[in-house]
Amino acid sequence: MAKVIEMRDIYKSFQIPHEVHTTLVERVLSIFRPVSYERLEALRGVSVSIDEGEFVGLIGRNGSGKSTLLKLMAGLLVPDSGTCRIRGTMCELLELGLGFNPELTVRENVALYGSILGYPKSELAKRIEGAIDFADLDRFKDVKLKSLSTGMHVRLGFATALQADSDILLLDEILAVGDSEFQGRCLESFEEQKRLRKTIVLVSHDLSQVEKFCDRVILFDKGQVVDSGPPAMIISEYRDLVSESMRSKAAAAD
Amino acid sequence: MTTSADVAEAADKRPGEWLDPSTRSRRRSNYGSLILQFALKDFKIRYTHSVLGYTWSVINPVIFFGLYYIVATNFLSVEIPKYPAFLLLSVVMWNFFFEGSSHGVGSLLARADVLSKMVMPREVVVYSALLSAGLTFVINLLVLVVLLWATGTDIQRSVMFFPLMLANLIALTLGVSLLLSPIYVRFHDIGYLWNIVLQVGFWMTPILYSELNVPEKWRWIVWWNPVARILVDSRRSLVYGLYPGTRGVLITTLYSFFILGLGVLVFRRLQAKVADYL
Repeated sequence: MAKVIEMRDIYKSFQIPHEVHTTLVERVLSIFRPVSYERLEALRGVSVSIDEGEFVGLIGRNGSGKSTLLKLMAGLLVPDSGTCRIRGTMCELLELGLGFNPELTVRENVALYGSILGYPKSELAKRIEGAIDFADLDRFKDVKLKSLSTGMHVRLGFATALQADSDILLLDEILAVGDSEFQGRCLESFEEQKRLRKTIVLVSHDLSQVEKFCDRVILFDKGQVVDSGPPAMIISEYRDLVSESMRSKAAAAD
Repeated sequence: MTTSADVAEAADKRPGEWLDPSTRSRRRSNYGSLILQFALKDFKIRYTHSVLGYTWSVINPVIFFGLYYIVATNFLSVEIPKYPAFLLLSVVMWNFFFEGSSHGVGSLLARADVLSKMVMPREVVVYSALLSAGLTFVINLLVLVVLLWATGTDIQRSVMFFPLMLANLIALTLGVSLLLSPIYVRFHDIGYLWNIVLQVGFWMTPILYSELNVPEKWRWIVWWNPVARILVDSRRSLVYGLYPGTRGVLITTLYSFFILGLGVLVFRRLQAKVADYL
């Protein structure tokens, strides 16, 4: 099996927002103070490799580093150290929609974001129609996006991303919003993508969907990979991890 | 019969070459159309709830031109030959620098919604900010042409220097935008600072007045100010039909393109980290 994503020994840290020096004055003053700002170690030595045609789920508690890893895969962030390599075309759908512009209409948004995603020029019109159709927003084609609901937003984002027809699809929490009808359609399209031997990396808290669709699940905790393997096994490991931490918290409270 | 080696080879072919994901954005081909689309959408959003819409981009400089004209000729008793053409040219060029650089410097932050979620060549938003200021500039230049015609300005062959001055102005504005926009993402002071620079710049640049109004001992301020250099030579070549000095033009051109080069270098260095701060 050919690898399409390879992340080796990745470290990534951020300055925690309230500690970030956003003004030059603060920055200058901080030279005279002992360095006090904390660094948030989002990823600490993570190595992951993903094969072509695999459908991989990333699970873990909030802040465990899975979304950061997805952003590194997308090339949106660069690691502090370690190497990321990908092969093939890639489309990322991070955090609810693509960052659509609320002041533009549905069609204009798809056209703009489709261009960013690299829709070929010759197929632009066809793909825009395809995306709007998939999102079931035909009636709202010329309506400004700000008048649509959050669910519709996400639907449109997913539809636009699918039309990019990339080899690799990175999805962050797209199943969380959207009604059951749309979820059904998403899942159908997952099957389709699988048939086409596309690679999908999905971050989700919906464990039942993860179990149903993923070939492999990777469990993250505190910026590290805890385990990787068949969905059922890893998910139960995750449940143990959560309940254990709740127990230890309860114990600490006593 | 296919051997496992064949299968492996076929599989190996399909995914293509390995590449660093942070560089993949640069492989996309529709660069130009992206810049244009961003600029047009920008434009559309800007004038979306206004009755006069795009006309504002003409009304604005014309009103300021009128205001400055009244103040300068009646209150300050500025006496400069061909003052209407002199003033409109200066106002229009300054206006482009003002609008282009202030939108350009803020462009990465203004587009945080896209840039924090999608991989794309980030300089696209800087270019598109400039392009949308450029559209206004073109229309304003047309107004200028009308005024030059109406005032019977005699266009001499020295006008051939004017396109070079426009190129310098664009290079300078782009350079400043590329230089400051990635720093602005990290230090919001840059926004306030640049705003002050522009306001000080308006008075310290010979826009309302001529460089000849500046006393000799202050003249260095004019020569160190790239916008002033561009304005002075533009007026000479377009309004007065005079050839600007070759040495002066050379210095102005080197100056503007040096800032552009610096901007490109700084942008390249800092752009990878931009998403960390958006």
